[in-house]
Amino acid sequence: MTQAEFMNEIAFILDEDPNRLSGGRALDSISGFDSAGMLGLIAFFDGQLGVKINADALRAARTVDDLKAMAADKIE
Amino acid sequence: MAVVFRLDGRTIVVTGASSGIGRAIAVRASESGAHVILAGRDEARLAETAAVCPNATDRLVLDLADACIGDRLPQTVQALARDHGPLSGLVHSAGVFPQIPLRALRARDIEAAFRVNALAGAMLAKGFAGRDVAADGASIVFLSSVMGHVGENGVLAYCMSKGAVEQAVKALAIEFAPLRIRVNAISPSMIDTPMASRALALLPDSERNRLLATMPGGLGNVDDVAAAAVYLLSPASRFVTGTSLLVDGGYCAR
Repeated sequence: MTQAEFMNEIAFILDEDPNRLSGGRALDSISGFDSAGMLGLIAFFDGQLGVKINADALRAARTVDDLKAMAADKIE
Repeated sequence: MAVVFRLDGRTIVVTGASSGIGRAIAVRASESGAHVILAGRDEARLAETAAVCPNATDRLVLDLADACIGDRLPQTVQALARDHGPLSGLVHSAGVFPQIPLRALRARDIEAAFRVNALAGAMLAKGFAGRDVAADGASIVFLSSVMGHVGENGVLAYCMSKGAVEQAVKALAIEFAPLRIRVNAISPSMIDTPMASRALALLPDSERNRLLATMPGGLGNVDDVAAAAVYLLSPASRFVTGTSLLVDGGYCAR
């Protein structure tokens, strides 16, 4: 998965305009980063990237870049 | 009387036998006298099931999530019959449980749920229509869910796939009646498995508590489902076909 595809997926799941989503964007500034958004992210990471993450890890994430870091080597 | 609940001499295929409900069904069927063919994605975990399954006859690694596998499944079943003799049963216990809120749901998520939960089972069942595949009085059991009967937040893809299983059972029961093959489903509510534990852990406390409050009988255990499967596979359910057996602690009775 490319960086652009990853960011588009994150924007879709968090119901955010992809043009307003940068790596440094604070997750708590995104209204879609709620319990439903976290479930969507967990399902995306598992289903599309093969990466198991949990709610605790997501609650510890502060920025979109932190989400990228969780995807590790799955993003080109 | 107890003999009618036995599966002696019967060869049964169980998918999803690597863990959880599928493993429990394989073990209980085996303890009831069946020769069990264990099918699953994970070879190592199938070996673990075989180690506790007295009559495990064979192991088959199958990735039912593979988009290309559907049309090959009937031949897979027919090959098993060639190798092991006519099959007396199939339990399609393999399944996925996508927890994806509606706003994050994509078409691919629904397709993926259908592929494993519904399509794979139907295509495996189709294999029983082949010549010399089914033993007389064969029984096919699908693992459905209470989510095939009622709705719930955040699991649309799963609900759709299990609703499809419910209808597949009815249609297949009619298709297979002339061949004396019975087709039924088991509809469990939440069963205490690693998958259920992960699912509950993902929910906010308020949502988890709300969900648990809807279960009059609490969580079921895998042997509750396995016992139902043995019944549906056995001669005791000779006149039962086209139905879905709720194993839900009263969940759907509310």
